[in-house]
Amino acid sequence: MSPTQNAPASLYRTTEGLGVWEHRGKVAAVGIGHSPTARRWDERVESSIGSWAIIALRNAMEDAGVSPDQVDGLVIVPAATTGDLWAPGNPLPEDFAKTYEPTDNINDGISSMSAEWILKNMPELSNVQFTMHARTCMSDAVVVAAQAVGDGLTKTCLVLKTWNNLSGRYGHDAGSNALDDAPGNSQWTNPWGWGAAAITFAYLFDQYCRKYDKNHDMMAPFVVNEKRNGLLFPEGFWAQHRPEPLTVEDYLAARWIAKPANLFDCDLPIQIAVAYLFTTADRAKDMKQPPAYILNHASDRTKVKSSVQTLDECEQATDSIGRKLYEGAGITASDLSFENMYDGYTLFHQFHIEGLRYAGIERGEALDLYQTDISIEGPNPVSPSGGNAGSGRTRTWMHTDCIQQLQGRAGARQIKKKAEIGVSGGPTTTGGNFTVWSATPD
Amino acid sequence: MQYPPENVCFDCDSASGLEWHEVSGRGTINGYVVVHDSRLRMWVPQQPYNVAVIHIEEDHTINFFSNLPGTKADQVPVGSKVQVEFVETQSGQKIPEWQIVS
Repeated sequence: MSPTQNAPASLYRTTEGLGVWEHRGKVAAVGIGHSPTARRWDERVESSIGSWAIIALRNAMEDAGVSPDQVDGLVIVPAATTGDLWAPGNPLPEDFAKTYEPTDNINDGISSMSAEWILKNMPELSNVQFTMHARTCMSDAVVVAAQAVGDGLTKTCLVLKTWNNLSGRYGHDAGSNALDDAPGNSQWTNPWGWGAAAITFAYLFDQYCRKYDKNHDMMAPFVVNEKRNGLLFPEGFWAQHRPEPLTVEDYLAARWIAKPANLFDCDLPIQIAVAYLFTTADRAKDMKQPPAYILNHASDRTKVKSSVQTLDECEQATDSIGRKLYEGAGITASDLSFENMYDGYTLFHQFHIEGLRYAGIERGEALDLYQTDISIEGPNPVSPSGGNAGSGRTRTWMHTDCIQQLQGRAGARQIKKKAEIGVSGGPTTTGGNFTVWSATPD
Repeated sequence: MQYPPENVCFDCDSASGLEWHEVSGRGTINGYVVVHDSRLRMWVPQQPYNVAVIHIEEDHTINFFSNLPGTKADQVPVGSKVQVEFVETQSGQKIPEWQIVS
């Protein structure tokens, strides 16, 4: 096979006016596979993201009732962190080097993950004919796999995202962050101490509160609900390792990171691998789990004109995503049973759900919605997955939850109302990929 | 207009038609963040510190960062007018900063 390529622009639905997606209801997710979780990699081979990727992929096949030789496609996100990579020149742990076949990239299996690494180290995937890399996160891989299956490039496709977290404070000792000057693009940010995404989204939230007369305290019910839902996610980091409920008082008393973003507005970097099995709707009917059908996918390729996205730009981008999703899925906002938009800083979840006009809200009303019953028992479940805030930084909980809700196997997180159509995606308001899921193909 | 400077248009990716524009150096404080836990090693001793966002007079979609020298943390007068001044950082880089004028 030739080296795996990044997904071409032609696979993404980025503009409005494309009409109903040509593969609406003809592609489905069936199997789900999660690895264990850890706060950081302990440098044992057994807990490397390479080992955990293999576990997740095997779990997804087992869950769907599909044998490895039936799989003909593999869509993977090679980037495995937004933090630090294995340091150049730092020798690999001996056990890891002995256990796995390497690729040309020393980080493969440790802090990146290529299709080539998987195929070298999972010989049972003997019939894979199609491989593709998705650039950013599971949201990207999901839309690439959906389009690839729909287009007939693959019939039974594994979709994989890994996250690694090495020792040390995430991102603090890497690149220009550790320097005393500001080379390259960091010259436009670092001299003023503008050094992490949390600051960008804190600023957008500051603008939001000024425009709509809201305040940070109004976020508390949402963040508490995220943690509650996350603790009902048995695959999640917090549920597995630190099952600590969060109270409104905890949230309001938390230290500031970049005011108005506090500690609980940020997600916890973790180590994990997550895989799904996608296939055609026809094949899905015969598999072990009920299909979660895909009605549409849409992507945002917003360009920011200046140093930081303005609130106007943010609202225009998320409004457009809402319109694209509904147009391609042939649905309206009132058809959504629940939403699982990204929350990897809690302070931008409201931009996404206002863009969707979820639960009838307009611009500036999401924090008012948060003061109502947004629980899984209520009429308007907000982020039943609990998101990154509830289970750790993966950018995958939202997709796993959509699939499980529609399959009726979300367990303690199953929403009380009937789960018919859900939406997931992200990450940020400056670009992302989004999917509409359904319990039925129609 | 676009800022920071790039070699192509942010909108159409073309380099043709790009040219430098001189602006007045006047702007308005549009909002701010107070950083308490920076990832940037050289900024940790300054915590907590303000980072304000300045909209320039000629185009409110163009924004610059500022620490608003002399302004206490979390005491930023949003909406105030500011004037650019160029200052040298500890590492010798010259950067646009902003002073409150009203």
